[in-house]
Amino acid sequence: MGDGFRDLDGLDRLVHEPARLVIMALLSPAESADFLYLLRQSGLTKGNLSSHLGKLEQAGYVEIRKGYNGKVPHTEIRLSDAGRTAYKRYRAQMKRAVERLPE
Amino acid sequence: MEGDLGRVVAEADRRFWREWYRDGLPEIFLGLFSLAAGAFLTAGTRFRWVFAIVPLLFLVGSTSRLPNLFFAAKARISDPRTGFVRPRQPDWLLRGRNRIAFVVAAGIAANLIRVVGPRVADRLDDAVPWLAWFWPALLTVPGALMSFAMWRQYGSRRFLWIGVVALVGALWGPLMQWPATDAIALALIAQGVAMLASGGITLRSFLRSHPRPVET
Repeated sequence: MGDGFRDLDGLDRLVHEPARLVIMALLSPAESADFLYLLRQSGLTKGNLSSHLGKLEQAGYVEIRKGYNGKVPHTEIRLSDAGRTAYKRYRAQMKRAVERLPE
Repeated sequence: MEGDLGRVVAEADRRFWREWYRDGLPEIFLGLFSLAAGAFLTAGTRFRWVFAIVPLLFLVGSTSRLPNLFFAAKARISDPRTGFVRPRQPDWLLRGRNRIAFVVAAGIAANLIRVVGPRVADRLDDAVPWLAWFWPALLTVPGALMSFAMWRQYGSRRFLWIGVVALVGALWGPLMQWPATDAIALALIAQGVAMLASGGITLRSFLRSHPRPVET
């Protein structure tokens, strides 16, 4: 296997899924965001977004805090330190892999 | 694939800040701050103590209160419409002591400029006459340039117009050979008015295009 292909083989599959990559990209410049923000920005359905957030939370890549703003339920989502590291690592690996892939 | 990845990442960052500025609230608050700072500088020179203490108090008070008011406005006006999001702050700014030190340093620098500036201008007048009048522009033009940079970065034309008005305000005083304090005051007021106008128009447009969702 060429170097480029080897790099692709080592990619984090959790981050590599397009919907989850978009979620992590949307969260990366933010301190935190809520479900509505991610829903509007990602274009995913509610069910889809919930499902992918669940997987990211299970892996420890996002932290989800549920509370209230007055009487209105409020869910705050942020990338964990592990999530930021995974996202940065994915970006670096992807960049390296693409540079080494044959044209 | 690299292009797509680059687009996802670069677009996410740019998209975040475009959304952040979409409601016009950052401009409104910055405009108020700029206007207030310019208004202070136009106070009569008989109140010399005002120039020594009040700008410092204003800076300290506004940098601790203004962010809270700003985020409260975001929570009330924008978050119900577009969702809640907050930008990451640099780690150094998160520590309270660093914030206070930063504000105090800015206040001291502002007062030093006010005291030392005219003396420097007198000395420069002999050596480089045009610079004696022009040095205030060195302080105020960067604000206009930042607006131009934001126009280039986020593609929103209103930052271009803010930059143009701010640049005219920054250069007018020096070109007319106004005293430095008046020149800087005009630049701040021009920038403040431009930001308030732009922010107000943007907020009105935002409220029309983003109706508050009906609670179920």
